[in-house]
Amino acid sequence: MRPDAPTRRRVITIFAAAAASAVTGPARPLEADYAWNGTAMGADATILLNGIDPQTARSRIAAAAAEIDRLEDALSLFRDSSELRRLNRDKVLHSPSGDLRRALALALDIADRSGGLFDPSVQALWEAHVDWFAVAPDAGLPPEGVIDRARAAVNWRRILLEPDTIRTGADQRLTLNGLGQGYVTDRIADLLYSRGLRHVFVDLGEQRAIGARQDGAPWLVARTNAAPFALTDGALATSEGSGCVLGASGAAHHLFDPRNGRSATHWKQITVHHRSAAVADALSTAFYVASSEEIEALLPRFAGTVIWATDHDQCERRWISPPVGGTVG
Amino acid sequence: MRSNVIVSRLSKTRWMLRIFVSLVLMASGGARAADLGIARQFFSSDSSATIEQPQGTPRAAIVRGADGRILGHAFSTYEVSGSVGYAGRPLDIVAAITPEGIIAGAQIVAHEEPILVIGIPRDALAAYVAGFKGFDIRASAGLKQTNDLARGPHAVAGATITSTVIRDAIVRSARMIWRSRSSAAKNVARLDRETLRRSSWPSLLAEGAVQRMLVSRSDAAKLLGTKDDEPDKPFIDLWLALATPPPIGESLLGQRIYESELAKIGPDDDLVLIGATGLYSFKGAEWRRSDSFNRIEIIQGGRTIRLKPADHTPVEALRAAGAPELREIALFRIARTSGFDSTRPFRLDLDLGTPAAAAGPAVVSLDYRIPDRYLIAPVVAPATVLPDKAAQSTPDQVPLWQDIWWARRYEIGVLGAMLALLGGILIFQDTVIAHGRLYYRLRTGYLLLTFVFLGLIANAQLSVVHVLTFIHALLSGFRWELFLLDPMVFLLWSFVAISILFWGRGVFCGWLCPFGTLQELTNQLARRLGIRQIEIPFGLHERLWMIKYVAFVGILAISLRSIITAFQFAEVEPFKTAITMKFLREWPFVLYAGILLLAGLFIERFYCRYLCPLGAALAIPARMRMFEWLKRYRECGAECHVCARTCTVQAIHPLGQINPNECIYCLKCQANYFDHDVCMHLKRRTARRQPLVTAPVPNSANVRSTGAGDAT
Repeated sequence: MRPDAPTRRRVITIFAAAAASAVTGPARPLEADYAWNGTAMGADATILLNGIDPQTARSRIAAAAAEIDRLEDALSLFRDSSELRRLNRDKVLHSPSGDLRRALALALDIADRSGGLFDPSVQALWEAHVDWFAVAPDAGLPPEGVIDRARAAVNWRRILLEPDTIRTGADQRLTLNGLGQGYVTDRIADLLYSRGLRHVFVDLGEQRAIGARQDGAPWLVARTNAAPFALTDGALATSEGSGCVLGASGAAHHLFDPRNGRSATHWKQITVHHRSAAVADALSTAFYVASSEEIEALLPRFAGTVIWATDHDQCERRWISPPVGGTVG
Repeated sequence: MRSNVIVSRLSKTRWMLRIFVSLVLMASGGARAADLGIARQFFSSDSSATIEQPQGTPRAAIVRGADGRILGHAFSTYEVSGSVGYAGRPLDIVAAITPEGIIAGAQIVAHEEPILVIGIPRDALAAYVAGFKGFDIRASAGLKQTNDLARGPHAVAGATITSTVIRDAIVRSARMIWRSRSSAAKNVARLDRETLRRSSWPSLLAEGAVQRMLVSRSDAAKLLGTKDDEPDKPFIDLWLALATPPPIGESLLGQRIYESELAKIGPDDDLVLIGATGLYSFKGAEWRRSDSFNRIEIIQGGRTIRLKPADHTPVEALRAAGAPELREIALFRIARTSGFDSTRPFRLDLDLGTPAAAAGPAVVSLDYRIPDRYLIAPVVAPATVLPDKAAQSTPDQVPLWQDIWWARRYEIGVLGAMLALLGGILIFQDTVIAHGRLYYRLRTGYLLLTFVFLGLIANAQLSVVHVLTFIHALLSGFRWELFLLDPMVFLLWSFVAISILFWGRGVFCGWLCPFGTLQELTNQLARRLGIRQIEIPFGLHERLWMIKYVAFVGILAISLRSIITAFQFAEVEPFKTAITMKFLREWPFVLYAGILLLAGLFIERFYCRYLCPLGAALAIPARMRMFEWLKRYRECGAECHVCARTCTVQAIHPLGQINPNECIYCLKCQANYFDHDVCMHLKRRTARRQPLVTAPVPNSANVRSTGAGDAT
């Protein structure tokens, strides 16, 4: 009996340990990866949460969805009661939300720095094109007269950002579609970060990473005919004319050059990396309508920017501006 | 309005066309019920489904089955969410949502999209919209566990615009309808706007009633794209509190400002307090010229609440004990009509200013959630609510009350020492009292401590309100957590409960009641100054006792009908005025407390004797007491009335018995008992030089009869 006792005790211990681990194992919050699919600013939206317990995932996503909803109330053109649409209707908006004011201030700042290549008042050009192609989808580009009339309304300098009021010209209509998605992306990313998440990928049309994935690997953003972008921090924004074409033959697209009122043709695709998705978004729009000489001239004004441009012959070019904190022009 | 949306910049004919379309839209808006009628076909399984008139906000029509059951709610996306297509024109889809949150069907009724913009061929559009049948709109539905994250790609550069606006229109509107229809039946917690309590800054912090956000200058420089040569200094150190509940608002603002602000808001509106120090001002300067503050916003769920100068009051300093000095404090009144719900979490967004370089939004956020102790759980089935809450808190989370006890640990320590000392005095009363003069000094010192520490510093004045709360807690399900939240009151009550069982109600009244001690101390002072005391004939005295019992029973009875009214009647106690608020109150209250104190100069403990409902409440259970340690000689009352005359509250009957219902256990008569210079019996015995023979006689027998009346 006696020599047996330790062995038996040992067996019991092992069984107990096994039983304990069987009991406690599932009780621990199981961390897993979660993907949320929804919509934001009239586009598909995805948020990827890497290594998170389901309860946290649910509560953070609920907060993010509510925040998207709230920001759309300010910035979206696809909601009739949004602040932006009210501004377009009334030409004046009192007590705008901080988000509309900030987004518009950033839009005007980038319009200024880009010499007007980015302009939030291009909505008139979009509406002129949409109206034209709705009536005559096969007729080719709208004539000069139509464009000229619309172009008269395009001038970011006529947008007045007063302390508590936003005013536009009587004929002006604004769009934040060249920056709004990025702005919302920034706000959602900041929200998730402030709620403690560290391995998140937010894709609301523009992509922003909060840290790398848990295993240290970057988030991958695929490209056609090229190696994917690897993103561990900051944001990527891509502008591509073929993303939204107008007319039966695709004669025009949604990226208009404010200077001539026509869809820009320099590039097939422009991708910009910047710390902020809002800035990346606006710059990808601005640089899409710029020639390579203009991009080079403008680049020093935008610190911390990387630009990848693909022209229609699939040739790729890349520019890198000095980092933030360097001499800014 | 709608014709306003539709602005044509093309030919005159197109103008006419647009106006026509907008008229049709408006007309269909007017005849919405007919429009929603098509939703009946979504519920094809029930051929006799009926559709009611649309109503409510947002508007929807109930679809009922033959058995009267609600099958779903039908709505128009344009009406509910103002859905607009890529072309910038109204996009209207009629859809219906089941009570379970599943889309029962959808059909597009108006749109002006150039089809290529949407990206779907014209004939496929109807099928695409109809395909939403069965779509689960619940918020968590979009969230799925995935195993693809390791592989990627996680996104595609240059995604194309698709039919997202259509999906968005359907899902968003359905969600709004579903939430508004399903939450109506839910029981929601209310904010506790009545409970009165003073809290110190550390305890408000510990319980989370005050939240803090510290933005260093390096943090700000990073967001603003600037450099800072003093990166460690605070850019802004900001504090946020919901000031609506009295324990938060009144403690932080002081009673005067709090009550005047409360008078400016409606019964469901709220007060939010923001204060800060540091380089950056959360108010800025521009608000003086504009309709709203530009730098701060309250965000709750999908709602943005702008703060307006007209709704704000600058505050000079925080009044709560231990609060820091702040550079800038502002109180904001937020109306319920703004959609703000103080029972739910919200956050403050602070704009740090315009970035120097092109940079993203420079905003920092501070989350706030009112601690559960300030919420009143739904009336229906509170038992089911509590376990839920308990389940929500993670196991490693320290219960709130432990945080509070830790935050107040020094006060608890002092109180513990005080109670231990008092326990010692009572248990060894004969030894202590034998030291005569030393005892009187000890007692005066203790009274001072009670008044200064318990009263002025810790605000631990027990009140009849606590008795009511306790009784009501017993009636409606007792919870330890509720009482543990206030450690001082909890400890005092525990001690009082035991002391009542042992010695009667006097231990509290004579030793631990700050207002009682204030009266006794002022009366002692008055005697020193030679103010003559008024002696009330015992017969009248005895009958005036009744007042306090009537007061207590009256307040108790009222509390069964309305606890709030009872609390108002509890103002018969001057405790709140004199102790909690330190006389900083409206003049009628101050006058009342002053009169009572004045009366106390001529009749010692006037208030305790005749009016105190708390004393009455304690005297009733005190009849169960176990010990009769107050000693009397057989001769007491027969020829000597020294003790009866010197008794603080005239609790000694002319015939010599001590009435324990009135006795405040000051032990004066016991000091006399051992004092050869005072006690007639001892004097006489000394004179006769007789040895001490008379054994102490417990006075219980006497007491019983006195309690019943004046029979002996």
